[in-house]
Amino acid sequence: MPLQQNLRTIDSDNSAATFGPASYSAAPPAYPHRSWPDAVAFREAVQHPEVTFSDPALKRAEVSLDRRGLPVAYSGRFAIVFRLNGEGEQKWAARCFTSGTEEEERRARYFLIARYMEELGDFAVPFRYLDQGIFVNGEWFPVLTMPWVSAPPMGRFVEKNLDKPEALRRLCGTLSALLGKLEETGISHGDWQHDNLLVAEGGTSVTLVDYDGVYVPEFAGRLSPEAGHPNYQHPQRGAEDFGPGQDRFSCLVIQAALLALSHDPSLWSRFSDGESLLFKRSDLAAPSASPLFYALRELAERSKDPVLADTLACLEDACYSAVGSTLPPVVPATEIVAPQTAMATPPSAAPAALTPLAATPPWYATSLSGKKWWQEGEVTLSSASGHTAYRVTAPPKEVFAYIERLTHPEVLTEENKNLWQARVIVPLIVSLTVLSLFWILRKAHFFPFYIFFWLFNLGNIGYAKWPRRKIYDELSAEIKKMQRLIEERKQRLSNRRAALGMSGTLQDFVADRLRKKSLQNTMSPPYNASLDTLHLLRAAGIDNALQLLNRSAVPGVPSHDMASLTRWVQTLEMEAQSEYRRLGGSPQAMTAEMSRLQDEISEFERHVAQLSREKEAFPNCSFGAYCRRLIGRPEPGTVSGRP
Amino acid sequence: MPYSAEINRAKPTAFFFLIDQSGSMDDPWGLDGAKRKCDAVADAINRLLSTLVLRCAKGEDVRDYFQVGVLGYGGAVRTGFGGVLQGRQFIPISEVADHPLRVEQRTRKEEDGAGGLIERTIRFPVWFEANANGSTPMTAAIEEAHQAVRAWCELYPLSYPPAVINISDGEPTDGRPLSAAERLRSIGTNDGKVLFFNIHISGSNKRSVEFPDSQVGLPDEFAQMLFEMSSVLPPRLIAEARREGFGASEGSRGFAFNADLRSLIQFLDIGTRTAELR
Repeated sequence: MPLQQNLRTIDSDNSAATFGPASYSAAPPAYPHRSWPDAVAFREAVQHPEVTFSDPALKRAEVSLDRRGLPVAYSGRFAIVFRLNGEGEQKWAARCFTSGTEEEERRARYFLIARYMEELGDFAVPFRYLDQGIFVNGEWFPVLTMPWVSAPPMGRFVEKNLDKPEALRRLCGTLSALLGKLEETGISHGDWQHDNLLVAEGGTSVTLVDYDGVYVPEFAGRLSPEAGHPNYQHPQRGAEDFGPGQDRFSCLVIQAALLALSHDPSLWSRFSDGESLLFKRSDLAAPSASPLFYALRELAERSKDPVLADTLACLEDACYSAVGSTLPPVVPATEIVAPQTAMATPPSAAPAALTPLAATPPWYATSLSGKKWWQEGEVTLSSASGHTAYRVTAPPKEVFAYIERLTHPEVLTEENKNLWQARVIVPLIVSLTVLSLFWILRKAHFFPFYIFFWLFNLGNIGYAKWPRRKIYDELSAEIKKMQRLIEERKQRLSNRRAALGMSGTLQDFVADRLRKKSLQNTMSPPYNASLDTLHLLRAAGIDNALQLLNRSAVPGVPSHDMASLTRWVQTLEMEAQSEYRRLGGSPQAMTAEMSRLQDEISEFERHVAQLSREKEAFPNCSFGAYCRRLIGRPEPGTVSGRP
Repeated sequence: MPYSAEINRAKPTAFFFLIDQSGSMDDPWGLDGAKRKCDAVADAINRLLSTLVLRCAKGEDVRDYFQVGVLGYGGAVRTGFGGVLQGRQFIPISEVADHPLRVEQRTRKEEDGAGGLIERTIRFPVWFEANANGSTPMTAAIEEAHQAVRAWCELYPLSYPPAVINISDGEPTDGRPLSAAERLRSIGTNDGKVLFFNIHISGSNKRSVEFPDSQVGLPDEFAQMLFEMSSVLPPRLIAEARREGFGASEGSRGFAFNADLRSLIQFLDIGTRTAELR
């Protein structure tokens, strides 16, 4: 397919939506409502790279397979990534998009983003967006290709280097440098998190991946295409918070966690659950109520580390302030020395018909025109007011569901009804009671029991049925239920811990069981050891099954007795082994189960903490408050603006 | 706000499939009749399990965001997984990923992009086998799902509520399942009630009805019963259904009548969409 020769360079002031020539031969195919393949269809397609990909380098590559012979996949929210092993040691990433909505918009965004990514150097991976990149079900679909970076993601790096505080602190400095570079370039990544930062060279090299949420100056005034990982973002960040400096907050979150871990690695097992470094959204939403913030403040004081203390203060301050007002990081940026490892020649991304010219150009350049790939296409961003073009979900704020229920129309009506009934019926019953008592005093023939009935009604209609109190009771019951569940989980966890404690491995477990079996047990059928034999064994220092294990003979013990004793030990050994398997198979399985329980406990505890905060914020429900409502007096100390 | 709980490894969500394996599933599906109904449904379920595994895949490890159960009913009610997974009700998705019954090599004819056709073999993991014989004890299956899901909800009270998806082609032979379905829909987690979806697959070529919001236009009593059994879609799923081109409205129920294979796969996909995964 011949490239147009009339390409022109972009004017520097042409920063508006459109650049490049209008006639681009590889213009995106216009299929507004074509059916888009799902992740499974892409996984089936990449099993044959030679036919599915258009890029010659990818065509020659083999897709990485897992142990079941299926392609290894990394799922994101909008895309699925496959790893391809090219010639030599070169590996490629092929990113396939799993949704076809906003295809045009996405294409335009990647064209613009690519220009800036080049300026980031080693902090980012050069990529190419191919409109006709992958052939699925008889149609071409776009693909983003880039060299595969084999460095581990930050989450795994931290886990591996918990015992190397200097590596964690080095990473802090590198992150500051990365942030500085991004801000200097005027862009932001938007989704710094454990899976999107790849860390190498002992923490001195960081590479950003996943550019779905990147901001570049051309996007000014638009909405963010995604909100970022909630455990790393400002609790109030919404779709309109899209601009430079967006990564400051996540940088602080990560640095605070890294600095704290460099002092106390045990924080990792206490607070991390694989979906965060340490901080969760709930911690960031309410730093004053967060056990993590409490632990870290204490740690900062104990370790007398001013950098940690300042970072923590900075983060806490940022949590309470507006989204855009986060301060730059406290940790000084380390100077980055470019690693000397040259990147292997990337695939020539020129259309298949072109034969490579004499000198192999960098793969993001086009051989004929000498221009970068993103300069040749025509991209048009839809108008900035096209808000529907971006699908955004703002991270939810802390909601007090029970308190919110108080303002529901049906609760309000019910409350009004309750109050009016009480206002009418209470005086009525009181006056009837007084009249009845008066009547009894006059002619005391019998006691009018109906007074009790009235009084019962009084209780039933009024305070006991007050909707606010009922909601409060539900809230209390919920807290009790959650606490019961936490107790139950803790019980299970301690059981597991006990089981694991005495059974580091299968051998330990069996040995422990055998040690607990006294020789006394052998005196009963079917073993029928004699008392004499037992005495002889005791004399030889053998008191339990473990000591008998692997002893073929004991002086003085007849051989038939010895045989039956050996049988006894073997039976016990088998029983212990099967019990071990029943308990969870391997120590690994048990540890996994325990960490799941631990995660659940902390999740439940967070929920209880939130409910307790809600309980504290709940308006007064005492009888006094009810009486004040009855006579229409304003309540002291309640949330204003509520009826 | 219900149906918004974040899904993570400590708060997974669950999917439970009830699959008709009665004798009538042996009939061919559609006009061309190339495939038996039970084979098509088994393929759809296997494909869906692949989709669920892929949604949780981060390289070699599969994160346990989901737990999955399969129950077949034909003659009697039995668990649908075989091999190592046999007899278990809810299985973490990582174990599902690790233990398919087998990985089949399937041949497919596809366009090569240049006007020709090429044949390719594709590896296709299989967990669930097609099976067709006996009566249709749907009520018993729903009862059993109710027991299993209730136990699950007690274990995971903060999770995104589980979805139960029932696929059938005929009338139940053990009474009306309405009250069993109502009991099933009444349980839930703090985040909302269980979602119960029903898919009726047909042998006829009548027009299909997806996500209806009223009984008007449903051909018979049986369709109306399935409609009544199904949950009203939460707003998020209404939006998802619309994005996929279905005419869903407020009050739409998770029900498809006379579905064909394409809408069956789409329906399953929409029914298993949840709050956003990271």
